[in-house]
Amino acid sequence: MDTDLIPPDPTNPRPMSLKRFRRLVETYGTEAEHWPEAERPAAWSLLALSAAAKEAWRDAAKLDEALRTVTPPAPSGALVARLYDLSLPSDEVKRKNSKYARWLASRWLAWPVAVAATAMLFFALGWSAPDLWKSGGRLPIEPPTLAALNGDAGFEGAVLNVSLVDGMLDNTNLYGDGTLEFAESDAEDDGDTASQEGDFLAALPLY
Amino acid sequence: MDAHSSPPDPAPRIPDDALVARAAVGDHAAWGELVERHLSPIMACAWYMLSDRTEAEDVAQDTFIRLHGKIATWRPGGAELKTWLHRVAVNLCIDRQRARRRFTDDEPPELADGADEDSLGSALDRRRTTQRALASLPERQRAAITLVYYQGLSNREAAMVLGLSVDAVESLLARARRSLRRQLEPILTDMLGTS
Repeated sequence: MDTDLIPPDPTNPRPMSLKRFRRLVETYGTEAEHWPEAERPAAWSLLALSAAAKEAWRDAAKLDEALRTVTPPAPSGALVARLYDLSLPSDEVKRKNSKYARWLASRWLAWPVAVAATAMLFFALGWSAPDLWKSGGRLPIEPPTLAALNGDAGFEGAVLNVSLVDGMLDNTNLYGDGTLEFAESDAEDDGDTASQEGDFLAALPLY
Repeated sequence: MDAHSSPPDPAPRIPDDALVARAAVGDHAAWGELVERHLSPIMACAWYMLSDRTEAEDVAQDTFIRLHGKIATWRPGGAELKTWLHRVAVNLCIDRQRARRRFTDDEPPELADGADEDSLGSALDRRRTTQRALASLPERQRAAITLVYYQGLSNREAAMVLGLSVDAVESLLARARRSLRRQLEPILTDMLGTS
């Protein structure tokens, strides 16, 4: 028996006409699970009764068969492995925390330590060599050594004008690299070198 | 009754939301289960959309990387994971198709294993011809066919993925199938003749 209209199912208020059936089979094909559930009972009833519905169904089945020939490739093992190996957020948090800790150590802990160490070094140097800055960063050797140089025959022709001020040579310095630096002056040796004029500095190798 | 006469019931499937929540706190097994559960469908979806294995793998990978980035803030009970993944994948595919068109002057991509239309006899040729016909569909029609026909999404889910109404998805599906029918007429006639 052919019919153009199947009475609506109690759960489906929409009647199934042949036109609607054709529309649905053209849209969803012949695989039942693709069909809207609410439409299925009336559609299957019409399909059982209508030759035109059966013909539309057969036509759609051919297209479905052609579509089924196209099958996708499986994901490659490399892709699967890459995705499995993605680290999870908690891992990243741990890694970031560790990274931040290293960063803090390098920036916020190491720097104070370095500054403190530098300050201690300068403090130690300043304690042991209070005239370090006065000497332009070069440490004079002990005064008795220079004092012994006064009038040394090795400086023939040179007028050494050496005096001691507070235990240090005032206008003559001997440096650790063996350089003697002195100021020659025509002024009397009054121990006051700050006001001397016309001084010149010369460096004489001692070794 | 022998307790061993029938195989034990398989373990109940853990919901995606639960797996996501576990993965978010560092459960690698849960993450692995998510990959195992969804990678193949997403890869298939991308391949149907792009007809290119390498590009499909890139899209699948990008989709999971996005899930990975989102996993800590995923809200259970919101969008279904399957729908969300398909939406991301389809959008990535459409982006790639549009980028392709900028370089190929709107020509459908050449399939690496394209068939000669004169030789439609073998199953392989039918497959190639069908694949080419699918590749020639406009992107939204192709997406609709992919989601509903190949991926098994309901029309409502497909509508959510595509951001359209259910009626619009039905319209896309109908137009896509009509277009395929026209293009595959020689194959379908041949199939009718052999059936």
